[in-house]
Amino acid sequence: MYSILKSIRTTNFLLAALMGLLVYGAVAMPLSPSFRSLSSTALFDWMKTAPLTASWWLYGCVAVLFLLAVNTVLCSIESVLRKRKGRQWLLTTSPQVIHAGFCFILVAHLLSSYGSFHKHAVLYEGYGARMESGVRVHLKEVKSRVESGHVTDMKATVVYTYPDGSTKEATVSPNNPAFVDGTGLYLKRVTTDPVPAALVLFSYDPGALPALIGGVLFITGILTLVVLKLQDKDRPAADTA
Amino acid sequence: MTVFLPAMLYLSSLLWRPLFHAAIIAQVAYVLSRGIALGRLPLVGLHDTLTFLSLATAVFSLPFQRSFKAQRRFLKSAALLAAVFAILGALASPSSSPLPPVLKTYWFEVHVVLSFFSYALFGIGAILGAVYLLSPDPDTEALQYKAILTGYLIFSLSMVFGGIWAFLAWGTYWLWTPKELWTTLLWLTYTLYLHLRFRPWWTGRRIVMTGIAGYFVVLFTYLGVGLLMKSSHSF
Repeated sequence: MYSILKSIRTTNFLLAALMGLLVYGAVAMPLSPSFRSLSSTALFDWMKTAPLTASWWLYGCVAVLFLLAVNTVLCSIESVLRKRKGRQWLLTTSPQVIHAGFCFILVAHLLSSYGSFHKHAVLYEGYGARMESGVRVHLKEVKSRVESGHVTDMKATVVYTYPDGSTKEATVSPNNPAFVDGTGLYLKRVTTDPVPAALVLFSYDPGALPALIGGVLFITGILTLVVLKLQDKDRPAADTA
Repeated sequence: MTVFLPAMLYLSSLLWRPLFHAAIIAQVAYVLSRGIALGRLPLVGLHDTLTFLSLATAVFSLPFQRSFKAQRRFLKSAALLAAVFAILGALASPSSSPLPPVLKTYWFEVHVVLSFFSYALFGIGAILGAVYLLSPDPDTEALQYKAILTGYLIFSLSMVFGGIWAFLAWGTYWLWTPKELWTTLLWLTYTLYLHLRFRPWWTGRRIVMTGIAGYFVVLFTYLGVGLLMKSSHSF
């Protein structure tokens, strides 16, 4: 069992299986109305309520990814142990840094699937909403610029009021959210007619930081590997996993 | 007429090689002029992205041109591929409307530029694969591997930057839309390619054909999803 789990043949099989499931999902998703709420709900919450006929491939993906994570860790340990006395330590370790990044990204998706939330709200100028943490946010002002009938710029000034009475003012605009207690406030749309108002998104994603760490590790590892391989004038060796 | 000039030069380079470089110069000039007119990098819509992909394919083929025996066949194939994208781009209407606020960020430009650089390298990898199939040579297969590996690095970087931008723009680094799914499929395709190379049974024609097949996934992810499906990346 151990030799199967650590085998690169297993890696390839699992990658192919994952691709097959995702191809099915990519075709099925646009055809079924069940998936419309998937991006605004934590994945595992969505899977609890979605019909199995729609969500089975996601269960398959989760299972395959779990096995792929185990396979990645075992294969990496085996590789490092097998080559630990070799001189090309950079060539040995860079794939493992890539694998570590991959595992971080899997953990990130796991965290996002459990604990994330995304809720839209309409805030009218002078009025607000209460967040789950007890912090109140009210919309102080909206501004937008329109050119040739297209909105080219928009921003909103919001005021956070904490339970202890202290306040904090923030300006939000596209690609520039404000964060309070880890929850982001994103500006989606503004209007001044009939009354000034803003469509905002409250978003919390616990997987964001691990995903970034994973991305950095992954890129560091693959960049090192590319530099080494491009310097290699001989045909690349097959055993650098 | 000037919009078709690079395509005509790429096609003419099939007969006289120096015209390949003239085509690149003409295309760079066109992209720069469009960028100056728009006040930004021209990276939105089919016209701009196909033109950029054509240019990237041509430019990224240059380092590979002197590296191996079948270079004439490789150069002609690269010129043909660049010409096809240039023609398709020229036939598409250019978009000149102002950018929506969510696209006014350096993250967007970096994400798109890196994506198309990687698509170009995957295309180079596919061409090298085709050259290998016509005249098998270990050096050609090694070059395909290097092109795809470099493309994989750049594509992974574009995914990371895309995730960062998505978090800043939409509150999450991952969205369940056709584009994200097919992007992941594309990444998995080349991940599989890189791991299949470790298996002796896959050496030679089999791995080369896997590298070629990956490019069809690239084309569907870029054009198929954008044209046929509704997503955050729709044309």
